[in-house]
Amino acid sequence: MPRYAMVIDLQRCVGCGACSIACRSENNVPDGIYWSNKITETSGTFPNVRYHYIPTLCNHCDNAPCVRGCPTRAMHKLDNGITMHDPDKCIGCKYCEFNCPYGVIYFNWRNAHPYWRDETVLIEGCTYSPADMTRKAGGKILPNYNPERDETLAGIRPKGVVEKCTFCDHRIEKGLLPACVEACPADARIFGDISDPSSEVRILLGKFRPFRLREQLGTDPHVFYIRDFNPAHYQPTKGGV
Amino acid sequence: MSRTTVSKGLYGAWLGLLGLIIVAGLVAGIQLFTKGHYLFNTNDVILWSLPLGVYIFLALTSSGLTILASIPLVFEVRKYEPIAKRLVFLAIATLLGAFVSIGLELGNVFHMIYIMLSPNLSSPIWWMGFIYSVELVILIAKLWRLHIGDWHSSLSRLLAIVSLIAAIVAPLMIGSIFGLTESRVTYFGPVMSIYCLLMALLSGTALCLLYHFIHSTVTGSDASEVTRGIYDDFTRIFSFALGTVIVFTLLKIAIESATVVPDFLNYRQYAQILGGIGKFNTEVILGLILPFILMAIPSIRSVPTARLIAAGLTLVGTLAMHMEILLAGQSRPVGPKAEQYPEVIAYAPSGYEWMVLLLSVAVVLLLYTLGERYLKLETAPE
Amino acid sequence: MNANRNKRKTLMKDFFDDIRLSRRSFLKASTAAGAAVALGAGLDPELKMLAAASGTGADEMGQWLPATCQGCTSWCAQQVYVIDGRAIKIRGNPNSKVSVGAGCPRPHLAIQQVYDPDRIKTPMRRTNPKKGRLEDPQFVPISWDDALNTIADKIMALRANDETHKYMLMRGRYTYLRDILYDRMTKIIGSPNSISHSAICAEAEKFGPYFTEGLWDYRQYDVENARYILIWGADPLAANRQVSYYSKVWGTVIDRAQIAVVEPRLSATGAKADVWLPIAPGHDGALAAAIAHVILTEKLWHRDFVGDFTDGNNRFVLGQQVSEADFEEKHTHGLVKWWNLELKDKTPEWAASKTSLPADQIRQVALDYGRAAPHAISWVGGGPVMQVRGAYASMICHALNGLVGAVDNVGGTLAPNKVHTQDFPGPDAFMDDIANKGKKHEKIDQRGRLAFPALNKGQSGGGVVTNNVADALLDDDPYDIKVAIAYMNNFAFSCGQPERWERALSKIPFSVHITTNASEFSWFCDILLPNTHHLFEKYGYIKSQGNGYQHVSIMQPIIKRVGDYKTDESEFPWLLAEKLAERGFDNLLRHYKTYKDPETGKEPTNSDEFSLYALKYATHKLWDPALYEEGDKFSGWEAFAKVGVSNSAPYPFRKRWGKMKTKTGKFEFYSETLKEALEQHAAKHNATVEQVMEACFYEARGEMAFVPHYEAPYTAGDPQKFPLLFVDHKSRLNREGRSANCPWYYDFKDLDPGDVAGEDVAKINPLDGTKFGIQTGDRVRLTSPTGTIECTAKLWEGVRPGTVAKCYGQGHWAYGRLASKVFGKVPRGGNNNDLIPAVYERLSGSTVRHAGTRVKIEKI
Repeated sequence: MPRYAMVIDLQRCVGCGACSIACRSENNVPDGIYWSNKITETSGTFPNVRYHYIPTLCNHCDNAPCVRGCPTRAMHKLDNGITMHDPDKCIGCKYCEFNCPYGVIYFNWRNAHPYWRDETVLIEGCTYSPADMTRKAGGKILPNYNPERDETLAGIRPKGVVEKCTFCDHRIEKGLLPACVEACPADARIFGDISDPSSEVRILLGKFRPFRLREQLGTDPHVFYIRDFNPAHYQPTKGGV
Repeated sequence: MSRTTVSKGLYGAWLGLLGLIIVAGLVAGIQLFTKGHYLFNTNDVILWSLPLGVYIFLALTSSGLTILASIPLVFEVRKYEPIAKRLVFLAIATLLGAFVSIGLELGNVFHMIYIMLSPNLSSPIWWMGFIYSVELVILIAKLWRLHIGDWHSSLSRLLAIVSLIAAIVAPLMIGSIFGLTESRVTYFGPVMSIYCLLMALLSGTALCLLYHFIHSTVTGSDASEVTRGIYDDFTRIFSFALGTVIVFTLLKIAIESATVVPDFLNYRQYAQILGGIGKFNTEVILGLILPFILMAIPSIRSVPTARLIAAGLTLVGTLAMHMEILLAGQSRPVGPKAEQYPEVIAYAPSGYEWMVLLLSVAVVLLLYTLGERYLKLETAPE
Repeated sequence: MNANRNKRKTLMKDFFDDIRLSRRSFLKASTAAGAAVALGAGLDPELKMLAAASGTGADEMGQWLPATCQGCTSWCAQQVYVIDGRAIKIRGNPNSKVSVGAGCPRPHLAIQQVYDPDRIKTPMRRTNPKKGRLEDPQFVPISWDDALNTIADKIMALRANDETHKYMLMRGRYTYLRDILYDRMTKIIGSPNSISHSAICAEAEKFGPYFTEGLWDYRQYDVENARYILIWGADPLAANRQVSYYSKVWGTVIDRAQIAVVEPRLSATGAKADVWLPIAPGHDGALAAAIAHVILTEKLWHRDFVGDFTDGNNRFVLGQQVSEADFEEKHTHGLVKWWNLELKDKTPEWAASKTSLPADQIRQVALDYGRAAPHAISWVGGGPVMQVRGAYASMICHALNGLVGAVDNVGGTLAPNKVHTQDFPGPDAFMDDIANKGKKHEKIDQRGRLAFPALNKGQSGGGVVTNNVADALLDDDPYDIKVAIAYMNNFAFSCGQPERWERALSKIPFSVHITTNASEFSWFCDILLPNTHHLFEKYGYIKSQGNGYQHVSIMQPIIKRVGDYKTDESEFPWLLAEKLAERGFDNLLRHYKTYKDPETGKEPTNSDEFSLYALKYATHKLWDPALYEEGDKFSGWEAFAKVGVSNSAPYPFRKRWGKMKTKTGKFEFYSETLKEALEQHAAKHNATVEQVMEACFYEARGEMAFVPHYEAPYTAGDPQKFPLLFVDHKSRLNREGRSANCPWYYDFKDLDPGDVAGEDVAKINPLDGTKFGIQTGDRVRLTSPTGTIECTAKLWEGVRPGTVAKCYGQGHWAYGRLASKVFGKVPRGGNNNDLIPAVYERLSGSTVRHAGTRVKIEKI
């Protein structure tokens, strides 16, 4: 059985967020919910300032606190290492979200996509209502609804349950890369089987000193980061007193 | 008008008021189930809010009452037997109120069946749910035994012992829900479990005292010498409970203010969400220290009104303390959520959250009222 | 339950896998590796491309179909995943060597554009005869037939009255099918007034390259071979151009090259740069002059390109005049003149006083840049040039490429490769007397007048002065316009001082807007026509360069059209031509019928055929193996349509050395080409070059007009009253100002460094926050001499003190329910253009975007 993992090369990352938006279309993720996200930081003071960007997503931890705490095993591990959620079993206690050290789990506080359920029309007779657009396009709740998401998880999650990144398990099953990996214009995301010594992820992890988010918690995350967002050159100096 | 008519009228009005609140609460509950929990002032940073605080408060209070009941029922201190049945009943009613609150807090209460079908034994929430469910069943069984006059059979005693164990373990489990959250250092560790157990004892005792005072005022029944003795003792237990929680709280505050772990620095910044008096939290001073002072002075302690005030302050205070701890640990977004949410989230309960509180309390009060009327709660073994 | 479902699925999958095993394993390799490269070398190139084009995993429900993104002018080749005629998601087309299978955030937003509920679904007619910002047009739906009849009648009336010049066509975002509508139709009707949007975009950026190396175009940059990349007011990782390609390779580029970014706010590219030079806005020319000065005094110029002193001794010494006879130039012209006229005193210390950058830093950048010669790119973006005095900044920043020999060189700045598309048949034979007469009138935008040289390719009045059309209309100078058709533009939002456009458009008696959304421009029009969305719904093609290639990427209708949309550049003109023919004027229709299907030789009989044939006609040489010239080869139209993109031959480095399209054939530091252009323009008006300079607000006098040089910025607003300089910049989510009605735009707005999700923020330095008593999150009002907007404040260290940086794109008061706060009334956020005065870089005709105005900021 493979054990899937992701390496994110921060030097290649350009902070464009195409991963996060592509994730929205692949997984029919509602507005306000970010399966794929980022942590940014502006460091320094003018004019010595830089902006840094770290893409984030579910870390698919080996010791996932969300899985340990879930009372109904709705949040569970798959054999391939993916942390998966079953909305049918979810009681909506939000303990996984409370427990997750990485802030990647979101709760459906309402029926998803309220914007697209709206029946109001801007210019009567001349434009559509969002709901009408969806019907005419042939979608489901969303005009661009991706039916393939529904193959392993509710295509659009009901209200009252949590949701999060699944490493695009429905795509992996077909031999396709996760949507964020495919969408990354910079090839900053490298996905693969960490149990295979010859996989690209293993090669990179052997070449660089990777770091993971909040490793000290012992969660054993499977999203690894290598290199720096800004590996700038600078004039060598010993500083001064 | 005779006194009976007046009291009958008042009784009717009381039931009417409770009924009204319950109907309003149910309407709010239906809205929550159909529209979703965005009706709460929660978000993906402040996940758990007033309804969960009310749940913790009521559940722990119920555990406290069960522990008190175990003094006569498990440890066979016979002189407390006259109030044992009432304590068992109060524990049941309070626990049901807690269930109302959590039921309206959960996103999908209809999936609760999976607690049984798909248990996760490593989950403190599962254990908490399981133990409180068991406790409810045992308590009801125990009440039934007491109701039919079976006080000392081995079955009855077994029920009492199991319920005591449940009442001790359940607060520890509530505490460990927080205590096992590595990602929130301010909660992490065994401290929260011990804290919850002490708080259970405190709020249980406070409720017991308050209830006694109101009950005797409403019914006008002059307490017998025996009962007065019991409540004098319970007042002493109350003082001890206050004292323990004070020691614990001060210790906790001392450690929290000594450390420079960033999470605690943040936590400290928001640990006075409900306001502070000087450097101390309002609810600690008014809900803990003031009642303790009142109860520590013998001349005041013996005055029933003082007991009423102290118990009332303590009950409000414990709810407030639970809320403060709950919110202070959640008020800053975790990880990337800081990108979309402000650095600090302010929180005030929405109308729906207040309705959950009112509904839970109304259910508890209605049960108390009906219980007093129909269940002969003051019986004791011959 | 899920487990069962999955198990069942797995069984089914295994079953089907057996049936189509060979195809599956073949295709899986291509998709899993994400590129056609994995397919091995043995395959025919076209087969490889086709495999990558279909690229669908065996279990996928839909198909990946080729498309082109025009969210910015990178114009990347993309693929759309389509299930049952419905667009689901987007990825890069791996077959393009320009966009290299990459994308950016923008294409994804296109899905929310095409399915925008506020798109107009039918032709609409205004029922409120009064026009104005406060007048609700009260649009009602009408049929295409009604709409076209009305338009045809109006045009016929112009023809009947011999005033066809009072017809105007305004073009916004276009494909290269543009000439059908923009050029041929306008000419055959008989009007000179085809007005493009080019001048509000980037014409000043092309000025420098043209008058130094004879290239009126964008450049491509060989970043992978560069050792130093000096970027002026461009943000290639976020906006324009080739965001896809640069995003793809930047992680490698920053290993090899030092990158310096000159921009007053910290951009996406600045965030990953070695050096950020937060220059005082408008002083870029001073920095470039100092860099040139250091390169010359330190003898760092590239001798293979520039030449050397005859005796090898460097006479470029601070303050010293040099004799032209002492220097022997190779592929350049006028270096010594340039030194003597402009550079000899321009030390880093001098530049420091202008730019507010440390002199040491300037010197270091100059040394590092010069030492990297010839693999040292000076990348000129819109920042330094879309300014009142930006033409010479464009020249001087670009001239650095000449000094270091980066022009046309490996690791340098390149021209577009040749691609073999072809023009449509000429209109002349179909232009009657009315048309010929009408076309002779002066163009409405006043181009070519003394104060508007608009020297596109050196021709006086050769380029458009888009934003001046509003004033021309308001003044009826040169005349009034009676019928206007506009498509995919929104000048009442996208031009500086848009309030002028609101009044000007209200004056036009009959105007038509072909648009996807009821925009600010539409608000003043009589008829709205629902346009197709370029990425999914129309035929078209574009050309774009990058990575040492140029590609031709096509658009095709690949999804089901939800509304009654018709394509602006092909279906609409055909349908209108039919209506005109019905009215006895069939010249246009006869002309369009000459666009025959190259495969069958058939002439088009309806608008659909016409659109397709026009595309096939224009791209004929690319796909017909019989006409093959170079680059990608296809077996025919079908194969080309399936792959969707054709790449040019690789870049021929240094082929233009000594053969540049300047007057001297060389890279001109002293621009004989500009001298000729300016003198011609002056002569046309019986004026001197100095008078031209004066009329165009330039300081240069005498010979200075012909060399790249620094000019102090010309900025509106009294510094006492308006203490802050306004810095406009672009968003990596902007689809040319058209994505503001997409929910994702707001959820992801913070992808622009310093910006905040869901907000429109004015970014100021915390020092200024303290100074003006403003905190993050405050509602603020920005006021310039020409307008006022309201937005949210954000204190950010990535902004130069004394400036306000704000992203363009929000502030719509129409366009849709999300774009506006109250549709038709209240804007959401603020439109930067309300602050920016309608002033010009007049030599190129460009609209000013940068260093254009000062503002004040107040807490509301």
